[in-house]
Amino acid sequence: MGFVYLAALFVSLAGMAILDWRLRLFFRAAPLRAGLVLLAGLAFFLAWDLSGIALGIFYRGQTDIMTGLLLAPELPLEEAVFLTFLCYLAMNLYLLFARRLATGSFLPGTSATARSVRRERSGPSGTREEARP
Amino acid sequence: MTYWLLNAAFLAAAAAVALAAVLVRHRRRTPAGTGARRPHTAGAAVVLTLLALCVLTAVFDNIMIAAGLFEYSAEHTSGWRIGLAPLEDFAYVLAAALLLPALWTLLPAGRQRTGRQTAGKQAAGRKDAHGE
Repeated sequence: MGFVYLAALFVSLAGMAILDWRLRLFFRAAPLRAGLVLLAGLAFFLAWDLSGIALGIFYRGQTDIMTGLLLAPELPLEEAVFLTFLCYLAMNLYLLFARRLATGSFLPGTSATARSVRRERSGPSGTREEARP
Repeated sequence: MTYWLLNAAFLAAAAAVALAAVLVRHRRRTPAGTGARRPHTAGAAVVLTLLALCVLTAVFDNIMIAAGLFEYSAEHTSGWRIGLAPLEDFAYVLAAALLLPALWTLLPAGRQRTGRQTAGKQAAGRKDAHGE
């Protein structure tokens, strides 16, 4: 039993979640919509993988960095996590690029909401500066 | 060539969903008062996403194959490779870049949650505030 690959996948997934959370991209922007997109993407790619496996195009490697848990013949548990990561990555990238093209900034919201976020952030520290003698 | 045929089938499905999204976006845009929205933002974002995913795939697919995570049957692949990665594998990211943003566009935006109350109020009523 090896957890190296699975651990690497979860670290990568965590990176996507942090990016999503901090920049309000996907789940944080619209949780239900994001969940549906991710589930549909996962189902689509799993169907693709299973078809490839059924046709004998690819098969699981013999390696000791995977857990050995299988969801189906030749389909390791790790593949489902990888596909989830691929979908999450694709959507984070798309939403980031779309936002940059639409608003000129990678930061959340349209220019109005981005301004309000910046105001929130600079607000407390600004007052502290002023309170100083 | 089997791998290419399989990919063609799934790419066709992804492209069909993408086409539906393009048509829906076009219909949403035509009503009055939407001059502010730039027409090619989504398309350009899809292209940039695809480029980024291709670079990442060229790097990480090679690492994953070198690590022995999966193997390919030689008789079903074309033999064209970038390093160890079969060219066919790039169909996955092409499909991802087409299908997922299209699904996002097709699903109703619903209630936007922009986190803070103030930001939420400002964004209320403005449809597609995120990534559109």
